[in-house]
Amino acid sequence: MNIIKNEKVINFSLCFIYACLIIFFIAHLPIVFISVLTILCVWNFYITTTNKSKPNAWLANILAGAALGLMIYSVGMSDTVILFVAMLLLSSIFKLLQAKTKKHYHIITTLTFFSLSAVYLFNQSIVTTLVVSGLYILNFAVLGLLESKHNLKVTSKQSGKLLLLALPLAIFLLLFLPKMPAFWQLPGPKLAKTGLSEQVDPFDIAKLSNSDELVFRATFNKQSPSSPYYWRAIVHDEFNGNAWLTSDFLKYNNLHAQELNADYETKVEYSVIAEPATQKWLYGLSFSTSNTDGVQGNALGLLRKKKYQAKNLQYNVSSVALNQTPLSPRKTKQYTLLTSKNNSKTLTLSENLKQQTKSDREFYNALLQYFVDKKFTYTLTPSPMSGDDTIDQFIFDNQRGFCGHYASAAAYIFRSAGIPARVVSGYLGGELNQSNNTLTVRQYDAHAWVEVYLESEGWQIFDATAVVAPERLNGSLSQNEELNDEFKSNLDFGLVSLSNFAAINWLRLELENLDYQWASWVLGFDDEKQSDFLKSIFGSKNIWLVPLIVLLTAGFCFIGYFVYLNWPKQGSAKLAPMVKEYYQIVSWAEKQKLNISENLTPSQQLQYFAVHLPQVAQSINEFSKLFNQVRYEKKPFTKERKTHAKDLIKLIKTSKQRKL
Amino acid sequence: MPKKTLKRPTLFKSFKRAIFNKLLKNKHLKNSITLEHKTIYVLPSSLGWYFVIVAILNFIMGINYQNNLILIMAYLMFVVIIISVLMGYSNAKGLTVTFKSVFPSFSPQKPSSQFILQSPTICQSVSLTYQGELQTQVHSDEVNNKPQTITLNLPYSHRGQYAFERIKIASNYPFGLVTVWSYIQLQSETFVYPSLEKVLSDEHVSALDEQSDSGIAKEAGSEEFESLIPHLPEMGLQRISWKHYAKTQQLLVKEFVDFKTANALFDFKLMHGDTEQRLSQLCFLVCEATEQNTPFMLKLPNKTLNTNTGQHHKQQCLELLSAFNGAV
Repeated sequence: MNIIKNEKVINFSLCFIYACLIIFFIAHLPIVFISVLTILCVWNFYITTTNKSKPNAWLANILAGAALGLMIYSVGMSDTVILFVAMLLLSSIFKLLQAKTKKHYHIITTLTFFSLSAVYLFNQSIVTTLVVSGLYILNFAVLGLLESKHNLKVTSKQSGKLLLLALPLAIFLLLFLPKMPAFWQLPGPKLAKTGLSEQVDPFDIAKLSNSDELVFRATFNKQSPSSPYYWRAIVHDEFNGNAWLTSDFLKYNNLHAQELNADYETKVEYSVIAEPATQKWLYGLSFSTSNTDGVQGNALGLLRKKKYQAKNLQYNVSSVALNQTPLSPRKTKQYTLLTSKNNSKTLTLSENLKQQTKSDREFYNALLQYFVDKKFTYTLTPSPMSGDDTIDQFIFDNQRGFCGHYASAAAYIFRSAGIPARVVSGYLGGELNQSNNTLTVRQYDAHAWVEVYLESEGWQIFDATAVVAPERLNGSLSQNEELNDEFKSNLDFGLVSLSNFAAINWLRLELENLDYQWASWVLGFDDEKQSDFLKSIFGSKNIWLVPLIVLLTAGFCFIGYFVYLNWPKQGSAKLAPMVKEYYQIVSWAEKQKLNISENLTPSQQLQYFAVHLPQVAQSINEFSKLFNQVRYEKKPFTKERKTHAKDLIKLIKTSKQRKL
Repeated sequence: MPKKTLKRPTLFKSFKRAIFNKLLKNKHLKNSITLEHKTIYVLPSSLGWYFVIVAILNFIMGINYQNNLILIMAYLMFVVIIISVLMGYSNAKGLTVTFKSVFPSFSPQKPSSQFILQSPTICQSVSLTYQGELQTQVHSDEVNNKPQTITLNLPYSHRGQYAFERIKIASNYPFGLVTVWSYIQLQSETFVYPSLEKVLSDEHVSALDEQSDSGIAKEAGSEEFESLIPHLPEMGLQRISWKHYAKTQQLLVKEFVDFKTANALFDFKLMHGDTEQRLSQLCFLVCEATEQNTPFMLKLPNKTLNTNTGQHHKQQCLELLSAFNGAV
């Protein structure tokens, strides 16, 4: 009753599935917990290979308790989603370690279906989808193994077939079944990776962590505007002595977007697909607004998600030039406020520049020139600075740094000169794929720059990097020759690091394009797109037809399949070996106008043919001998015998033709 | 695995049985059943329900995170379970289960019954479950158009007469997600005979033939030499004892007889011990007597079986012993 026939194979398969799941979650779970899971998995694997008995309940329960404690300690309670995933994995693997009866295995396999889905919370790339689908089939095969004596290959084939059969209908349901709004707000999984933070503090960073992870893609509706592209994400307006922060005042006084008042000639329209991220900020050029649900703009021209969402988000943006309206005195004060005056040398420098120049514009240019003249250089590996006067150290001692250093220092200098300035972080550039007019922006494109308010000109971008490393402005870091080596040595291994080879670069771009299509059509298929899609098929008036059509189609599919299953199968009754071949000869003889008698045994019949068709008598006799060997002497119907029989039939048929 | 005996209130049990019979409309009161539309029942198995729950959880997760990949997983699971229902139904359809015979046993052995399974199309993974207080099960991996005999042990080891409980014919094909089942309610019964307890002395074997003092009947036969009798003309010459003729010149004929053992009486009252022991002893005697071809009479407090011999008589006696419900 509860005997499991393929316990070993089942254990191996489940071990394999969980090993894959552990690999998927390596990036999201603490390393201690991952190693505990791995040890459990390996233990189970070892037990299965060596046919040892599973640990008894006491030992397993004590271990489970310990592991649970470790999990809570290492994973923490703050992120409920990852805690839930950790618990799911831990309990499944422990259950597998103890599983003895069929029921235990049933519970594990059903839980696995849930664990597999949980992978998609964190990663939805094509590769992940393919791997998870494979594991899905394997999991079904395990269910099949629990039920039958077949081996893994047969059950995998069966489950693959079943899923292939079910997949079109599932896709159909996804396309046509109206998407429901979320029942309730679930906490999104917190993804650790980010290139930006609310705080720009470049001075204690020795090495910029560069990752080639995708951040977002932008597709321009018409002609793409000329570079450089400054993708704004966060504005920092408060300097605390070391770092630039976003003040609460700025956060809460600019919640609502103002009417666009700029000229519409410079308006740029595009859509962005943002990868899942924990933070709410989104990306746009200059002053951006969006008409997409779930995205809101603010008075600074920045875009925000309305809700935390752990999935790709596609939104439309229209961008115009930054605000030109005069600043109110309050705002001027806010943007020129400097609470710390520790960087005395820099303050002096600022005063000198101010005295040498007559207008804000001249000051702007003079500062740029200063960075050029003093031979500041761009590096991704600056030496860390500490103390109260980090800006002084940077300007007068080190003179090497990346965007954060320049932005911090420049904003400080502007403010000390009484010119309103703020630090903006976001992304610079991106890799433009000409074929689909799509810009791909990755984490290593993260950038920080300064926006200054020039009298009579409005907000302008001041980017010292532009003069220190002008190539950085155009295109992505990956396309930047000069910094390429430094950049690549910094980068985690990936296809980007191999972009010197033309073939690999081509492949990379193709894959990226595929990935883009995937993100925009599969992952980004939301209720808006669905309703557009349905309207394009049925027209907006006949939208009520949709549920009807869904029901009817699903019903028809199932009925059709049912009829197919119960259709009386012709020829499904397998003929005994050689019988088919025998009938071929009989039908051939019939064509030769020979009598076919029901009363003769096959041997007699063949004998009769041989007598009446002497030209093929030899072949027919040989066939008869073969027939008797297989049918009556119980000789195995091997491949050789089969081909021999076929050859004989061919010989018989052609010999007649030769005679003609 | 130890089986649990569930003590359900009898009221509930009888109520359940009444409902069952009402619902099933005695469709299954046959000794042979072919599974078809009217007699097949399909529902998700316990695994199937877990599966549906996980599908619903996936669906909720997919909706709340607006995640198409999770949603498609959920839809896939729903479609799979519906396909499983169709596949399971088609798999079991046409299966014929025929009751062949039942083999009673001596306690504490369990009796067994034999069934013939046959199906025009291939039917995979069929199990028969005897739904008594204790359940027993027999499984067949594949049934095709060749009749296949399977043996189902019945969960009885104590002496007694048992009516067949309902037998569930079930299949979990494919993947165990659905249970496709039917019942067969046999109109038959089985016996567990008392265990055999050896009896050595024959004091309890009471003589039955009052007229024969030795309790031994004589009959003319050919096996044992009995005596010499004078020759009569019609007797022929082949039986004349020529030895005697040579000695005494007297024509004497050898007379042969067959010994026939006495007709025995096995009486419940003459046995020792409690009821079960007595029945066991009687059971042993009945078997031995049948082996030796001795006619015997069985006397129980409430019933007497007349002198007879042979397998049929033995079976009658054993059944009577099994069904005995009196006391010492």
